[in-house]
Amino acid sequence: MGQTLLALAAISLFMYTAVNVNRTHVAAVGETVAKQQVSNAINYAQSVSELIYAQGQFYANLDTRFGSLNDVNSPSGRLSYVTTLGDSLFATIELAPEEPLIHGAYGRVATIQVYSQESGGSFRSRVSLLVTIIRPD
Amino acid sequence: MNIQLDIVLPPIIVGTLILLIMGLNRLMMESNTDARLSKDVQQFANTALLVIQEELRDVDAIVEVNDSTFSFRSATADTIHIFRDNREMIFLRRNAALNVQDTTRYAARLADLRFTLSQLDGTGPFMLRVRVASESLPQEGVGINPPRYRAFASRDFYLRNLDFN
Repeated sequence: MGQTLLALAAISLFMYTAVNVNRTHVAAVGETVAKQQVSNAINYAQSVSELIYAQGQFYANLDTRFGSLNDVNSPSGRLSYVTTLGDSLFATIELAPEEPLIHGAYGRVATIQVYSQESGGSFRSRVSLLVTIIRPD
Repeated sequence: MNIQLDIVLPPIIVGTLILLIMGLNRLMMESNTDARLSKDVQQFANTALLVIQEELRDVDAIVEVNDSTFSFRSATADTIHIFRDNREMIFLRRNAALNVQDTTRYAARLADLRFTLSQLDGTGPFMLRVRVASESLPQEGVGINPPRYRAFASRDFYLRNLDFN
């Protein structure tokens, strides 16, 4: 009887350990995927900043080009991008009014937010990036 | 035949315990190596993008763009070709006037390098999309049949110098 209990206790202990080791392994794989997703979001935010810089020469048209891209819940109010992994990323741009910037220059600050979509359909903010567009003299 | 459990069970339990401890140690070692490899390939992909970004500052004129090669003339009148050779990223630089050629090879562990040139709204500023994939090799891992890790990085670049020329 005592030996049987000992054997049962040992098996339970082994199973508990094995399950925890597997859980740690799964967590490590999840961490690797999460790292790739964050990296994708950062790169996408920088791509959007390049897009803003490209349009910076058309300073007067910034509102026309980006003014409506400030609602992640609306397909027409956001930019979207599908990563190599097949995940969708979304970006919004908030344009601040013209204000004095450093060194006596005037311009506008654009806040770029990149979101990923969760399995439930909600959006999760991944990266935030601020860029300034200087008003041409 | 009577089996004497009190004699048989303890060695089995101790043996399983030893196997479990050794297995855990092996798993920890593999896990550490896997974490380092996955981090390394991601770092290589991102660094390859940064290196390309530095070169793109000087784009004066585009010579040729296809899926795997980007060739341009720089502000210093060099003709630069960026492409992948096996697992390396190559910058081939030629200066016709001085008849000088040099090659820089970056060991970026590449599995893929692609370029796509476009113009915003069809006629607007030039944007270059660069997509990089880097990959580890099985021999860089540990254990039996170690996995290969692959990381991706993609970014759009505004070719400002070209735009203002």
